[in-house]
Amino acid sequence: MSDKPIKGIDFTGITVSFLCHDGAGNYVFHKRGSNCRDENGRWDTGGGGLKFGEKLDDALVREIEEEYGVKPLEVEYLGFDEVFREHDGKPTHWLGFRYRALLDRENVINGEPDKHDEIGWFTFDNPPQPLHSQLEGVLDKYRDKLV
Amino acid sequence: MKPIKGIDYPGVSVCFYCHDGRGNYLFHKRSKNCRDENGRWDNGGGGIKFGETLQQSLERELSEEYCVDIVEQEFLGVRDCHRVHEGKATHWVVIFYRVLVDPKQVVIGEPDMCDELGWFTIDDLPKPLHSIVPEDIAEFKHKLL
Repeated sequence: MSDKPIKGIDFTGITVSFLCHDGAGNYVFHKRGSNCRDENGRWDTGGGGLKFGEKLDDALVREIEEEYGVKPLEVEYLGFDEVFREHDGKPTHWLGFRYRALLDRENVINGEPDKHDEIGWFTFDNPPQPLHSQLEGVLDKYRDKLV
Repeated sequence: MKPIKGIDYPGVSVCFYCHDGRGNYLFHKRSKNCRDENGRWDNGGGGIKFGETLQQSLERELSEEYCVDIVEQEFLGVRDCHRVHEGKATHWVVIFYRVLVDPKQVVIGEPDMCDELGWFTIDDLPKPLHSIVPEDIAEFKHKLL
């Protein structure tokens, strides 16, 4: 093992992820660029890892601000998911907390242009394709809360 | 050196409020051998293991601490727990459950870690409590009837 333990491989990684909307049924997605670790060219709604010492609510606000340039106006907890996969032959274990957040659409920007090729607003009846491979299941699970 | 859960990275734990279906909740008194909170009353819980689902962790901890099976369970919520232990910051994300158990099945599963067991109502809990329990109960009291 290297000096620094690796999130999701040496210990259960914790993430926050979000579905951000404009209050009128449109959700913001971003297209993952070639600099992203994986899922390149696929559309995602956003998320990131919880840092040591950080509260879940603070991690959520930080990640939304990093990705979309605004703080959320309202936040709603949807639920959590446990994800067990393999990465380079090693088992990975993640626990993801999901939230729905209301954003001020006028001020939303692509906050990470080096990682994300573009952003766009879509309804869940007509999401952009191809989606991040994990996202289809998330949308199915929480569909009744995503009006 | 092996990284330490809750100190070198955020730990995940399950925490349970076991009840008998008649408003009585199960607590145990932490012995001098426990890592911390010695002599204080605790409802129970523990850290999840890598690769283990929350459900497996919940069942394992209940079996270890009280030798019980789950009759019914209910998800209460999630809380961030940030404290200081022996001068070091600790960080846990705790998943809370309310669990119906059969009181006849309950015994002390870890006699070296637990001095005694008792059943209490939420309005009349034993003292002193584990330092974090009052905050937890304040958050979930409306669900702990």
